[in-house]
Amino acid sequence: MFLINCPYCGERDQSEFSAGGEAHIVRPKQPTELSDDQWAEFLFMRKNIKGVQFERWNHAHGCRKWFNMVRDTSNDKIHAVYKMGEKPPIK
Amino acid sequence: MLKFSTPISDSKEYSEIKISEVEPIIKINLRGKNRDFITKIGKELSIILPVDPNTSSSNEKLNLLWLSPDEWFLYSNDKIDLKDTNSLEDKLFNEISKVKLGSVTNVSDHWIMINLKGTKVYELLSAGCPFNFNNFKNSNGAVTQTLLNHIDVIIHNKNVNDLNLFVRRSFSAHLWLWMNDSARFI
Amino acid sequence: MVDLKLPLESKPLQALVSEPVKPIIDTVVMSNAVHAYVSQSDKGELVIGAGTDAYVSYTQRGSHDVVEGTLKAILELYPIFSRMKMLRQWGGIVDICPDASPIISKTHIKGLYFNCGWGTGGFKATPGSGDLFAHTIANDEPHKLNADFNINRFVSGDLVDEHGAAAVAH
Repeated sequence: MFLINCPYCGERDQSEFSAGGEAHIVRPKQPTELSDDQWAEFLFMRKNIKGVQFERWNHAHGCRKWFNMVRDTSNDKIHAVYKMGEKPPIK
Repeated sequence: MLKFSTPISDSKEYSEIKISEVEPIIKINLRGKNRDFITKIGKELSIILPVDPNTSSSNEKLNLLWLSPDEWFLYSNDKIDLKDTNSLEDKLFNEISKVKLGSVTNVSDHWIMINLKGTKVYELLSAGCPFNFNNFKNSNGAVTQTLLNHIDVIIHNKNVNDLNLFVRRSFSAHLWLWMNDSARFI
Repeated sequence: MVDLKLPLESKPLQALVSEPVKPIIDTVVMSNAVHAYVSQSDKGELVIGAGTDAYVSYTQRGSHDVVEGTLKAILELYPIFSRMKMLRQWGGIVDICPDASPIISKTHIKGLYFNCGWGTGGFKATPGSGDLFAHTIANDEPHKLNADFNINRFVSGDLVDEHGAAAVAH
């Protein structure tokens, strides 16, 4: 339960958004050459951090745009919001 | 436009709230990204395309709502003649879709428009809506997409305490029941 | 330490309890159709189970719209509860597998076994899963009932897709 500052629409309630999981997972360039272990890593293994996490969100019930967010999962405090394709503003 | 039929066809009055379905009106979804698209729309409709988030622009016939950085929603003020529903769509389609400036989709059957009037409309909306209407209610022409009773809606602040709300047809009967039920407690 | 990754994510699962009232239901009521889960405690409180949030969080509170959706479903079944007051609400952090089924499995490391990933389910499966887990440890081989719940299924692709089949009732 928190507010998210959508980079397009401004501050909105979290219930308007849908969570897209961990961000910056690069899709394999050569999918056909991946082993089963590598596929499992890409599809299922997530950092699941208690603390500051980089994640993707979609303003599903608003502008329907995807964006990235840096959130502390231990207290739901949002540190940064940035558009898709942009570099994370904090490390 | 498909054969038009509405699931609501009703109007209800409560203390300081009046809700009524306004149909049939024409609704068109517009998508485009480049500058040519923006100027072309302005020229064809004689309305400037609103590029600021959560805003709209209108003339005496049409309203153009901002939905996202590359998507807009056009709807007519007046009810339309069902025999002549395609002329506006055809015009825009030929000038925009055909020359690949953007896309034009007639969504008249997809959305249902409900008009809400009265001093307590924001109390009704706030009963089931996560959106903060504090600034919205004082700015004519403001637009928001949000949830009402967990249903997607587009809300256009047409005038002081005079709103147009758009809901998808398949959800509209349910939302209508919820609105009538909630209005009793306000 | 053992260089083993688990395909789990942690999300808040909520429950809430109402004010105590006279006996009205004497069983656990579940509805997969509207997603409701309610029972009455001996003290008379309604105990209501809600869903999980869709995002990773360790905050132990959960979001308001999940509670709203749950109570909406309960009222769909029992309109009589519509004026009841809720006394308290909390969120517990549950570990969820990508296929929403648990892992009851040995690993490639000798002597390391896992019984985890139960997510929103598990309470009623606890005795059974304990039995199977004990069997797995004692024989260093899974029982045929939990063989499909091995940790390797995320590599082999043999996922146990029972999320839809179980829905609320597990």
